[in-house]
Amino acid sequence: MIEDDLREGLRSAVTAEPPLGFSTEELIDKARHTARRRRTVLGSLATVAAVAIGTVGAVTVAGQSAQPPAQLPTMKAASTEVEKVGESIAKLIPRYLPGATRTAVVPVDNGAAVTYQAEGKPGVVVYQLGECKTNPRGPVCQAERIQQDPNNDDDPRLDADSGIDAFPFFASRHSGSLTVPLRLLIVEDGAMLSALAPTACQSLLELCDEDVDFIPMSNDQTERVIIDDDLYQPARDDVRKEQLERELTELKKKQQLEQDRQKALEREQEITQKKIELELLKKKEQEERAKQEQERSEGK
Amino acid sequence: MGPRRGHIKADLEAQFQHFAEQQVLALRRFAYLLCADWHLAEDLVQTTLLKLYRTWPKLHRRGNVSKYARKAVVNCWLDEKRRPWRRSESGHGEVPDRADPNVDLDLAGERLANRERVLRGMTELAPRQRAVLVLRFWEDLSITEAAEILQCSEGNVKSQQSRALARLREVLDRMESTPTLARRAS
Repeated sequence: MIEDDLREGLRSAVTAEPPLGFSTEELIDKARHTARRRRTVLGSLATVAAVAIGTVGAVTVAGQSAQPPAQLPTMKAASTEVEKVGESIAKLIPRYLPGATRTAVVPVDNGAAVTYQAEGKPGVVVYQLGECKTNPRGPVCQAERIQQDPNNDDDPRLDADSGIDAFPFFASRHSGSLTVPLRLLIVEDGAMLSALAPTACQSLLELCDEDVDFIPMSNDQTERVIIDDDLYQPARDDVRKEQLERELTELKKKQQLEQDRQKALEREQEITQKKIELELLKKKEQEERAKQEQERSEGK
Repeated sequence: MGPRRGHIKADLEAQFQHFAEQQVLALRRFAYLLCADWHLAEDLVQTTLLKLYRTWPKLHRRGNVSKYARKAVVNCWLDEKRRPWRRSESGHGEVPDRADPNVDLDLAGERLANRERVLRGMTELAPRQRAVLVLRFWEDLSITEAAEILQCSEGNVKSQQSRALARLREVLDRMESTPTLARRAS
């Protein structure tokens, strides 16, 4: 039986085990150090958000004044396109997440993170702009998986100045067969937009940070943000407009062809009519000629 | 809000250390059976324990940490396999060969041969198939428990197991027939 061989083989495979190459004390020290470093960055989340308001000016939240960009001067300004979409998402979050009292846009890589506060706890929606692929069913095109090396502490994306370390749980959002539905690609104004919701904490505890109880948007809420008409109706209108223009051009071509065909038919009818008329005239002429010849022969 | 990360309470940290000391070898064996490389197995276990440390208070409250730890090891392993720059596997794992005067040489030889066959056969399986076999035949988990760890349906576990065993049988048969042919040729 292969099952028995397998059990026996697995048992004997681990008999010659080498000694452990690390101690749990060292491991705990390392974990403590890493956690402290990340905690420091997390502590500046609110500052990062405030700086984002001041620097980028991407979000307008009713009744809130922007803070001056006192820290994190190396933060890159978001592109106009990123800002525009981020602003739309930021405005939509309170609608679908009751209690979200504050939103901001923090530029991250080639996208941005829209942060919010609900019940005194932080939350975030991250998005990135990418290539556009149109899906006939609607603006949501495809899911995307992004893998980041969780062991690489030197990854510049984890640098405190970039602000991305504030959201370490989305560094790896695919695990095993489970694809956490965090990132959806959507079309907006002809560009592909991907939105990311921090639902990882619900599905994969290991990706979460103990000291930050994020209030993630539910999948339903995220989807509603993503397909919100206010944000995507312009894109839909554009798609519809292009479709109508294409249809109109086709119809005009058909009409032209049909008109040409009709004219040709009319001309053919005219020609036929004239041919018939001509034939009749010729026949009449022949008859008259024949009649005259007959009269001449009778006169003789 | 839970305790601050990096400042988990001393008693919780002591519990984590106790858990780590108790489980580290078992986890490494489990990881080794997945990857057939003791060094990589150690890396996987360290990564897993670092992740567990960060979420320890929550995990501790939830209970059943051992199963979660295995789930984390499998996830780390599958992540490792997905990396484009991951080290390529030779398919011929290092098989320690140490003489033991107290055992029956024939029996030991047979076991050694079986171990080598199984390990080499396992390296020819897809990562998830290998994970299914290790969970089912090493950890002795039920289909339901394996599905929970692999985060897939029970049907998926059954089909993966069936395919993995068929593939393993095929590989082992091929390995058995190769020396025979060689002997015939000689």
